Amino acid sequence: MNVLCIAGFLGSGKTTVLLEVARAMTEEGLKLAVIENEIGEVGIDGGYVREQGLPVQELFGGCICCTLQSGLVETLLAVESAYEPDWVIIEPTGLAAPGDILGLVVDHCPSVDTIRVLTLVDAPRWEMLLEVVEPLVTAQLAAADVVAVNKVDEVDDETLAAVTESVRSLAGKATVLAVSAGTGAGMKRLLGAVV
Amino acid sequence: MDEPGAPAHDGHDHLRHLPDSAAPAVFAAQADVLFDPPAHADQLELAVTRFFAALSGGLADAGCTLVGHIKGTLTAPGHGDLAFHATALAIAPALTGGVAGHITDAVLTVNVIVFGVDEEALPTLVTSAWSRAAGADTAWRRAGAL
Repeated sequence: MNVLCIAGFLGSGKTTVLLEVARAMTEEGLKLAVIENEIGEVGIDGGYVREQGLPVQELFGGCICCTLQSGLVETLLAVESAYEPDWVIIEPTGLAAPGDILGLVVDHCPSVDTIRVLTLVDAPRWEMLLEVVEPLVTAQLAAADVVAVNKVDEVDDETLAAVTESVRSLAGKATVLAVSAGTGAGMKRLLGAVV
Repeated sequence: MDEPGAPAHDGHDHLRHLPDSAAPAVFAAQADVLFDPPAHADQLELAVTRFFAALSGGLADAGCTLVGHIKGTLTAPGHGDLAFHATALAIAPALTGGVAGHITDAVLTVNVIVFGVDEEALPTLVTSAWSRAAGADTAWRRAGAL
């Protein structure tokens, strides 16, 4: 079983990208399951993803990188037992630190062969996010294998260049791609990088 | 790793990895909404738009520095779902889906995560904004600061 964690700040497009990745994996004949995490005690994204025909387990009322760590491990093991998936896609809350999730899975889920982290960046809001929640968004980049600068159709070329340069400086060795999940621009390349 | 039932720390128990000074205010809840007289689909969209406008004003006055997200759904059994989503106060929310016909009852689900706002004040900001916008009999459940 392999795990793909799709991280990124709130509103960065995680659910939209998740559905595209899931569609591509399904077309490849891979068996999937999804784990959705929301901080609030009432979830919204899980129902939407389930409507698209994917098996979904939801974790509410906390963050799987800290307060719901045991819940994540239990859920991952339960998903493996129930669905025997090739890939489990985890969508953490937009406030999660994916590096902590990575460590958790490595330490407590020995049956996981591979875990990859895709971090999304909200291009139009990147500058603002760096001002208000810099430690969080930089931690999300630091843990990534692939970074997708999303919503590129909503920014001009100058802004995109500045955002991409900023992201590259913070993303270490991660592959950095520019995409628009809304229009589909760059998505084929992104899917090739993560699937 | 945390253990079920482990003692909670003070402050934002749902986000232990963030210092309280950097943690957002979170509100998530559902409500049963009764429309009397029944509301047309257009009126529901208008109610959602007004709700967002009222909430945006309240959040701005309360010192909101960043919107994580404001999202939700209005589900009318047998009539469809209207979803809304926003990541800024100044822009109208994106609406997806839709409802058809005249609606007498619906379930409203909201999930609000914002920065710079007192978490204890957030439930009242959300519920009062909805009351002003919808003018419908609304019974909140699973409501409250988390």
